[in-house]
Amino acid sequence: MTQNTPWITLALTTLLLATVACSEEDAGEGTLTAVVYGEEFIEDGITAEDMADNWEVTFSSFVVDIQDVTVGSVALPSSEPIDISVGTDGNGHELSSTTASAQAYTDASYVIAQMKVTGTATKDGVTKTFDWEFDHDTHYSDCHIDTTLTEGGTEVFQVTVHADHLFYDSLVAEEPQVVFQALADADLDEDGEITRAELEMTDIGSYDPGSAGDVSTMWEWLVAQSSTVGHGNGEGHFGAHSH
Amino acid sequence: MKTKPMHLVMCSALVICTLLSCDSPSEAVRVELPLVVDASRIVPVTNDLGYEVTLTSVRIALKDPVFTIAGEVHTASPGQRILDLLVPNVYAHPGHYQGGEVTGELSGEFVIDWIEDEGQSLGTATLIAGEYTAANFTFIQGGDETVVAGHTAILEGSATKDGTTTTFTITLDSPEGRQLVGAPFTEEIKEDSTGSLHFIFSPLDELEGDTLFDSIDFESLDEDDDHMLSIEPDQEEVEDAYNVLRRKFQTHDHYTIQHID
Repeated sequence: MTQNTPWITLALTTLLLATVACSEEDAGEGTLTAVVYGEEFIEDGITAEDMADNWEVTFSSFVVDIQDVTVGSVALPSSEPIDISVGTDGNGHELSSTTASAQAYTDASYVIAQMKVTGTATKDGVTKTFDWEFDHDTHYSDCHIDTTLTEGGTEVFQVTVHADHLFYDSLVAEEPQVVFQALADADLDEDGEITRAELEMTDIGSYDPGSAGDVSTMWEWLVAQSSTVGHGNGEGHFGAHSH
Repeated sequence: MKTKPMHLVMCSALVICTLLSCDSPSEAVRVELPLVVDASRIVPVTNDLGYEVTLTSVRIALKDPVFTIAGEVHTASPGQRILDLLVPNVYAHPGHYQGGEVTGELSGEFVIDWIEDEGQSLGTATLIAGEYTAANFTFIQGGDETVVAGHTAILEGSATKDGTTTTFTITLDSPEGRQLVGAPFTEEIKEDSTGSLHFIFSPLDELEGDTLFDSIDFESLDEDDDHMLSIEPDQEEVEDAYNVLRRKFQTHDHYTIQHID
């Protein structure tokens, strides 16, 4: 009897837990909302202090087309492209909303179908403008984000866009530098505008692409970095692939 | 009412089975194999500009080679990662690398004189038996007193084209903590595997056919025509060549791990 006591206790506990788990029924619904937020870097700009080479970058427009947002098994309605350079006081721009079963969701995914980035960079009285469009789909998935929806409550999943990644000098470093000089130098005709054509003619120089053998021009560099800007709820990291 | 008892039985059975399996955790099988310097693929190569390039010295500083398998590995002991079973070390990035998981390692810093050290063991690597896919390591800058003289790598050799030979010394510095990920290591390591792991450096990317020296025009870079060329960090006149060489040197295309019984 004494030997069996732990097993009996265990079995009873198990039965109790199983009863609770197995008899759970409809827990009601809540509201799930997806927003996109470009943080201060996109809404206010990247200051010279935030850049390793003291360029200052501001975005006059930063349009993202975000599709196929899912939180757990819940697919949110599609939304229109949105300019996330417009200030939101930290709240982000709402993409869409839906009602869903009140429960815990443990992952999320989305697609950035297009990104159009327009702005200026300034240093020591020199100004460079840029107007770049990245029109490849980047799928962000495999992210463990806990979203617990309660009955009658509202939970927000935030697609967070990190603009500083566009100015990283490495695709593989733990702590890449945020720089602009190499992009400024790609203004080959020195007319003040850094065009895609010029970037396609400019080698990546000292930038480190790791083993990505298909990244050798500054345009290819920006395309590669543009596929790394997506995050979730601030700093949540996703697996990403583009096509 | 009719289904609940069946759920209870199933839930109870599941939990009890899980607990019983916890009662007898199985240890992952560890295999120890020496990691040996292999210079067999340091052979003359012809770059895309027609130079036949022969390396006479390859010296590289690196640390902490690790070995990865595809996917995740699970043990019978819930909550315990297989790397913890292997070695309870702290890694900057434990676990997943390019879809794989670290299940083998040889800790330590190494300054390898690849040709001079041919056949020498760097130490004994410990691996969990399994299907391996890749190896990673971190470039370092060796001490001033070492054969890399405070740098990451020094490559010496000659490049010959149209009867003219230029000897060269290439000095490379990798950023601190620069990890090389995904060097091919497609081998099954069994619990009774013997032999050694060969750490191979090759100036030829055997998969794509290009070389470490592609786009390097040795004669043009030799501005004083003395047939001796030095490419080093922070030399403006050879900056582009330096960047290209360092970029290629830091890819996984030129490193391989091979198990030889």
